[in-house]
Amino acid sequence: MIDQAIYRRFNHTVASCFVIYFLFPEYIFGYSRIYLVLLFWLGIILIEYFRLSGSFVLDGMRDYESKRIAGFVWFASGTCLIFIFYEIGVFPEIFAVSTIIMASFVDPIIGEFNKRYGNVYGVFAGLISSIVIYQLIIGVFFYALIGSLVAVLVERPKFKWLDDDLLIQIFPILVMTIFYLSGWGPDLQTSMETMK
Amino acid sequence: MRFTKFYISILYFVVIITSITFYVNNYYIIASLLIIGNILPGYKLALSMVEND
Repeated sequence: MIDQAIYRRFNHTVASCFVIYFLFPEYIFGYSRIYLVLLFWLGIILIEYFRLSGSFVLDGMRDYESKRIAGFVWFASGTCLIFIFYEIGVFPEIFAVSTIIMASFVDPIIGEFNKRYGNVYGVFAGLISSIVIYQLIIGVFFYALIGSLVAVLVERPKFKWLDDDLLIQIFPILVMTIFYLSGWGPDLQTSMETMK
Repeated sequence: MRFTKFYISILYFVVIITSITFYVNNYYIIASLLIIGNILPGYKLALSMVEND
């Protein structure tokens, strides 16, 4: 039996590769790439439906996930929401890319630090790693700080029917976008192209 | 278990391909982040599988 905790962490960090979506052509075989997102999300829902109905057992699930929606569904749903809102022009590309990568890495980092050193270290490790990731991608410290603070804040509370895997993506990008669109935040290059 | 191992190998493949794709498109920061972020859990998981074998 492989180490289930490490398996879960690796699944979480690999989710950062979802950002490959931004390199896809806008149209694939004549269809908008947003259909790919919907297809992917439906596939996830289908897998979860069969898992919950007991058709098969997935490795790496927590005990409490046997009767409720698993973390990977929440994470995929959050990412798909980001893609959809990006496509309709709400979320800037640079926020979408950075938030997906941040959420993929910071949640496991917080989890590991909580387990090994306690909650206070978990919060600090999450905050610092989040600021570093946001700063490296966005390049504006104001958004790096705002996004990181929101990410760490929404990661803490535990709800039965709402998972932090979704919240850690949606809330930071939402707050950063509100600051950017309202003009309260500094101006920035919203395209990923500027990172080249 | 066999399926899980197959799935894990796909995950490794996805990380490598995605990082290379970003690298060749000159997105060096993103490519580096993908590698750095996945290398430790990937290594630990590989170690766990080796010990398991």
